[in-house]
Amino acid sequence: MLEINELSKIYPGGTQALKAVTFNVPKGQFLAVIGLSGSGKSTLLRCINRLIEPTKGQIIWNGIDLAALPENEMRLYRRKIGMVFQSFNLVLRSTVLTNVLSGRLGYINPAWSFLNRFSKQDYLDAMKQLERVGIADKAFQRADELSGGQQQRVSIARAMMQNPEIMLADEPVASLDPVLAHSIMQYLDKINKELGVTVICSLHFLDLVHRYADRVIALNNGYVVFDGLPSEIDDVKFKEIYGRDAERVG
Amino acid sequence: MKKKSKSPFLHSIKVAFIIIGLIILYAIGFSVTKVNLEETKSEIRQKQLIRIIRALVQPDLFTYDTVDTLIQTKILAPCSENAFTGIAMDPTTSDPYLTLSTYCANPGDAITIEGFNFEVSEQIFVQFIPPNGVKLTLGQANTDENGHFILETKIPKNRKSDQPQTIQVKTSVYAGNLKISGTLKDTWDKIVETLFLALLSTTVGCIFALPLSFFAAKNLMERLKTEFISVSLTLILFPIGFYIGLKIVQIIIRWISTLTISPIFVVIGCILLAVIIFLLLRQLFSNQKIPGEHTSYNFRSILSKSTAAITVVVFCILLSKVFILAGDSLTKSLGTFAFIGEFIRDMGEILEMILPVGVGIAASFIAVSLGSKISKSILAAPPIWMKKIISVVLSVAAYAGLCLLIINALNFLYEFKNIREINLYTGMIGGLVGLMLGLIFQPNYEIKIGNVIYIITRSVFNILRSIESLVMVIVFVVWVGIGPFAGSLALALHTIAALGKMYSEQVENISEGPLEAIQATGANLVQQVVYAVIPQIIPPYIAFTLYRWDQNVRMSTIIGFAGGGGIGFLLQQNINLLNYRAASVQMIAIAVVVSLMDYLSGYVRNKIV
Repeated sequence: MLEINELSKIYPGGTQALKAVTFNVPKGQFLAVIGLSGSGKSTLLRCINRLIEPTKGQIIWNGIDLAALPENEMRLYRRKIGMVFQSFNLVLRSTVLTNVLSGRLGYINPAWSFLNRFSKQDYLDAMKQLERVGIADKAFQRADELSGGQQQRVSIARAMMQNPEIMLADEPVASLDPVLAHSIMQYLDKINKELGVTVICSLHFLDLVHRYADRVIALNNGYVVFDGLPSEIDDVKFKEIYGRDAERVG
Repeated sequence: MKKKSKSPFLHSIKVAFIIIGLIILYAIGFSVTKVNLEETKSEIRQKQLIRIIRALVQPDLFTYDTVDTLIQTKILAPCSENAFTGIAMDPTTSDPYLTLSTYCANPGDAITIEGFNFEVSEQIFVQFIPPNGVKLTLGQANTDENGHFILETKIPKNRKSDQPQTIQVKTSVYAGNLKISGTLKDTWDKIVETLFLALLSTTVGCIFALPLSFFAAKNLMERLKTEFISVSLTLILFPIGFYIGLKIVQIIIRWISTLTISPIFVVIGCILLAVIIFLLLRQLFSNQKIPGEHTSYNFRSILSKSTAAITVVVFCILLSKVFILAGDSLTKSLGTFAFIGEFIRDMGEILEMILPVGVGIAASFIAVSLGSKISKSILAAPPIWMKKIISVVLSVAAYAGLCLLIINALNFLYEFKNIREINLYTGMIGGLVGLMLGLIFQPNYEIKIGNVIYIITRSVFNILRSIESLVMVIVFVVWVGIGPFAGSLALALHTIAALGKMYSEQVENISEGPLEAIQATGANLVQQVVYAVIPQIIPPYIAFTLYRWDQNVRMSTIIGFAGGGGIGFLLQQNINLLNYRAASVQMIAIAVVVSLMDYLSGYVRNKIV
């Protein structure tokens, strides 16, 4: 159970990205976060694993307030929270395998990471994760030789190496071909359904939300303006979330 | 609202003022830089200019073998009673001979020297040789188409002798084939020296700049935050750790000094320790611990870790001795390649020199990590008021200690007279600062310590960079003597600062995405750097290192002007001796090398990036 309590974020410039956001995520849920660009979706996801420091509020996970932890302890909890990014964020000059293995960094002795040494088990796991996303044959290629869809699959494999209990996905399909979007979403769905990993995924397209999400949260200008089932989003709600000028696509 | 446009009259007044201002500005410029056009028109100056330009365009690259002809005659100076009529000359001979207007003259008297049957249209040099053999040039002349010359000159003063003195005429005639001149050979030697000077200084600069550059990268450093209490502990424990590290090395060296006399012990001990360390590392590899999940810092683990650390130190000491021994024996046996032996010996000595400092730094980092554990337990356990008291006490001690360290470093430079009083006052001031900070900040307040480190590193880089290596070399010449060693040290120091700044800017320019992603996996800051930063910065680092080598080659061509060795030394010498034809060779050599380096580094940079 992940409880977000009155979470606020004010950026140094004065922009208030999150305004007392409160919601709960039960274990194993597939939660979609929707809203316009700049509504605070990315900030919310990054506050949960504290890539961005929240200004106020609590993030209570299994009884521990993540927002109050010092950085060196937060690091240990971050290992259990995988993250997938819109721009994949692979280290392009490293091999696919190294990128996947770097998901284990939180678990190994930091001294060995200088030598790029991982245990045999980690290598086997990395190959297994690559097989799961169907690109085991690319393991020894450089990451920049891969297409966008392949890169996103590597990044899922990397996050899965952390053996996560929560998976944060920040618009994982926004920079991909719509055709590829479903294949990436299906991997996330599989992780959610088969392994019971809680998925919190920000999305742009409502049809993806309808198809994959158990529940939707909508943000507008830093406020939660909707919290419910995907099927509950009717035309009135839609206008509330996306503004009056918006039109439904698809 | 648009501003009302000004009247054209006011506008032209403004333009006129600007023009007058500019004229005054350049007039000041001319007078300050002492522009003197009369000098440029002066005939003597123009003649000199033409002479130099002609010399510069005729570089002394090649030469012929020359055959010298020496013809002598005798003269008595000053005149004395012993009648001396000179050496009889047979005017019918076809060999070259000399006649003098007089064979006895007082110093300062005018004399006419005439020569016959010399080589046609050649330059001849007339020298005066007293009995002690020290030659003095009297003048030079050119022979006519009959091989005849006349030179009017004076008998030199201060060369009195009652013995007949020699007047000698020297002609040099080209013989044999064109060959490389001595100047060109010297220039080649010095150019090689210059290139290696640049290579060494760039390498050393690169080695030091690499780790330092991360401390000067804002995007990395602003992530580094520490609790206030932990900063105090670091300030206290860092110098203590350094001191202990230094002492440990000294004690170990003293302990094993009797044993290291025997070379057999050194070699066997070194190999043995290498094996032990290898086994220890394998042991550590096999049971990878998960950080944070169990922290067993019991007595046994501390003991085993410190034993391991001391083993490594002893190994390093023995290794340096092995290098020195091996270097010495190689120097004896290798003959022409003895320099390799010397190199190995030098490596051993460098290891010996940096070992205490390295162990000191390592020990201070261990002390600091111990401090962070202590601060964690302080923050966890006692009640709030207790924490506050501990924090205040620690910060008073820390800042008083810091101030004392700084003042004692200054004392080394300024040699204060009343150091005791000064120590007392600075200690008190530091304590007060610490007290105030301790009261203001909560013990767990996160200080952006990274920003402080960033500012300090950047400032040091900027200060070092602003001192040209030409200035630095003056200090190094005093330390290690005139020559290329001083030059490479000065260039290396400058390179550390310049490369450090350029490297750190590359770190700041990396794409943040991968860094964010690696951070999200739970990696610590060092791991983030190794996995997300280093792969991104390797190509620009190589490019900048090459660029810096190119720059260092350019710098080392002139560093010799200040005594730093390399080709600049030769160039300056030749300019001072007014030997412009030789200077021209060196200038050409510099131009060739610099442009070659430019093409080469440009080519490699294009290949890599």
